[in-house]
Amino acid sequence: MKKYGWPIGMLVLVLFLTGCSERQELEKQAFVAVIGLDKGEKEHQIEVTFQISNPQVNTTQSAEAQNEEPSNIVTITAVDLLSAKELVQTSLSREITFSHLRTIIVGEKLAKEDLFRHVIGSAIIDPEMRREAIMIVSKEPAQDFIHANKPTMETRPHKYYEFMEDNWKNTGFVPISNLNVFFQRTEGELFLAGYATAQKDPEYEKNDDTYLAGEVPQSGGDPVEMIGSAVMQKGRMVGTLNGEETRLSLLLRRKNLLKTMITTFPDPLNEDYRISVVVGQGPKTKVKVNTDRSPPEVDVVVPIVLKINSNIALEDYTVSKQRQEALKKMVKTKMEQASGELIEKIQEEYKGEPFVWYATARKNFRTTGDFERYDWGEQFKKADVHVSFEVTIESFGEQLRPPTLNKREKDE
Amino acid sequence: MIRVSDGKIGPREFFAILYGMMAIRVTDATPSLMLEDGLTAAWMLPLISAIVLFGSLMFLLAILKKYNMGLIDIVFELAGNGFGRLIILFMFVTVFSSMSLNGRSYSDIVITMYYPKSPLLLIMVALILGAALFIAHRGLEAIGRTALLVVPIFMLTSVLLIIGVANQLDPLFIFPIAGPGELEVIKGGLEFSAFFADIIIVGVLADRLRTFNAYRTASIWGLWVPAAKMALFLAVYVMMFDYPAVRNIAYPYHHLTRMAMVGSLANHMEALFLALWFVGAAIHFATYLYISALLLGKLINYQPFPQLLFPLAGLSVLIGMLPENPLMGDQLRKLLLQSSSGLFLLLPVFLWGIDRFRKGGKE
Repeated sequence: MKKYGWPIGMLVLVLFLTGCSERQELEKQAFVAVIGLDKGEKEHQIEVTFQISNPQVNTTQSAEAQNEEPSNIVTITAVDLLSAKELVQTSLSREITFSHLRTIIVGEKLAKEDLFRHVIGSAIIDPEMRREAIMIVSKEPAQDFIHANKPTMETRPHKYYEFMEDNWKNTGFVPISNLNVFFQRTEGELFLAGYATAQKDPEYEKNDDTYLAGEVPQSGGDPVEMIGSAVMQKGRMVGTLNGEETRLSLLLRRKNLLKTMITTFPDPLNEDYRISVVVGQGPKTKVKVNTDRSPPEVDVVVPIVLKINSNIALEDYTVSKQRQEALKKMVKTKMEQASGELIEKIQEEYKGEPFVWYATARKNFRTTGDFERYDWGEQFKKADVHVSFEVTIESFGEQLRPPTLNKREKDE
Repeated sequence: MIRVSDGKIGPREFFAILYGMMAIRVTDATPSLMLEDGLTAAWMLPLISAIVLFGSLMFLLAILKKYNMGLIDIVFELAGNGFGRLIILFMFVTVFSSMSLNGRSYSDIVITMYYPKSPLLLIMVALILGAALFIAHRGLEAIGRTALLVVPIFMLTSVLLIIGVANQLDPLFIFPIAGPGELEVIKGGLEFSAFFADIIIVGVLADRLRTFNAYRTASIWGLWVPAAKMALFLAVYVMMFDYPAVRNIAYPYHHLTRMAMVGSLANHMEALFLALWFVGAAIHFATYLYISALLLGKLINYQPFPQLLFPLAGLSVLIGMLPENPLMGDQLRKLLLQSSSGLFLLLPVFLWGIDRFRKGGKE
């Protein structure tokens, strides 16, 4: 026993190390779920809004906290995030922590300022700031957005954003872009952040997915809408893309982030109607960039897979190969046309591209110096871009042919 | 089969020690230094270093085989008492100062990334005077066995980590392939070869292995596996954070563990990686401490060298506290590495040369 005495003693002593410092009681912490950033009234000041979730709500402990709000929203005016984090402690009893921070909301006004670059650049220096936090730009000041965002289903704010992010993977209306991606694209490449608003101004004339946040024709529901994206360049917001353009720019990437999306096309058999199809990911999108010639040439082949799960014109596609070909052709031309327009818009309005084609272009250069001298952003403005879609129809839903309702109509 | 402990270690233990000494470098400030020089081609640097050191290692193995002694005795034998002592002194200074600066660097990682409110001294004492001394004091066998126990887990978690971030990686980010240009890359590889120079230093343990063949196998694997791991992780860092942003990140490994996700639920995996990493760090420093004591013992002709472990550990904590901030420490470390690269590369060649020149004719 004597032999093992001191090692065992040492091991017991190790247990006491936990009490030395960094002891954090779960009860004493305040978990920030959302941060909102706005421009302050004075020069070089920002207003930081913390949405702190109340862990007692919606748990077994909720009986003890019946009259407590699910979250506490505080706005602090300070020069940067770190000092705001300290100042919030003047009114908050618990110690604030970012360890569960998932969402950063930036007011459009601040995002368009040069100041934002400094704010976000200095925020990432704080080791507590996690690079996987998602960035969203809100049309109104972020604090108004956070105050307005009271979803009916999700009382706890972090859940709301988590589920919304899961949705985006399927709809592609909003790019999932975290701070890590933001800092990847600071050299002039375009970065897409989600675009959201609580100010609704529905427009009823548009087609399906060409809306920007606030324009979706809906009434009722949760107060907040997220669709489209804010285009950021060198840490500054320079424009917006609507839902359709956002989807396309996700689709045109080599690494397609869009799992499936539902979109509509004019029905090739019946001009009066549009047909809704589920567009799924085909095999890998092929991107070829030729930088040897001037202007550079970009070739993109996007394979997509269609599922015809709705058919408002009730036209029968299953019987004839020709009809299917007509549909394929329609989808192909429409998609190519839309992406052509998008690329033209981007070449005209911005310097750079949001499709991550620069990564493919980098392949053609031997050294980083060569690539920097080439100035991809400037070259892309005049590049020849050819996008082609390869369409295959995978399924026609659970009916062999549309219900024969329309035929009867004709008979009568 | 239970073998009576004879104070010697086998090839697996030796490999585990080497892995603990070198592979853990992917987690500290080393990748940042390499990425600064190698940019997108940083992953080639460790491979070039390893190729260069492999040549050097071959010379070392040739001498070790011929004399069948530890490196220290060979140095005395070949270079004479005076000059040999000078070489050993230089080796000791390099190993010991590298340990002190590394200790500081690791403690800084802990404070920056995980425990911001802890005093630096506490972490350094816990790491070097506590954990590392505890392991080193039990002797080389204990180091070897502890290493053998945890190294497979490290290998497994490295793979898990890469799987955890795999969907966030973009392989095309490692282009342009040559980074800053081929010449720069080769130059960088030579400069950083001291990162794997441990493979030469551990020659001092050669007489503690059961057979020479065991030493040869373990040291060859022990050079290539950590070098390959370093290359892989450097590539992963670039694919994850992209050039040029990757240059700004202080401790890429620890950012990677934060970003790793298993499903959508377990996304705070870093605690698991921290615990394992700290065990790895303890083994790393235990080995360094042991080798420092061994070198110092030979240098001052003090046979019971394990008694030197405690004062050396204390001294290294004190030296580690000297630099004002981690960046200063890293600068010193880089300087140390670049200056000692040459020594460790040329030492085996030099010894081999003397051997040829002086005694070559006799055998």
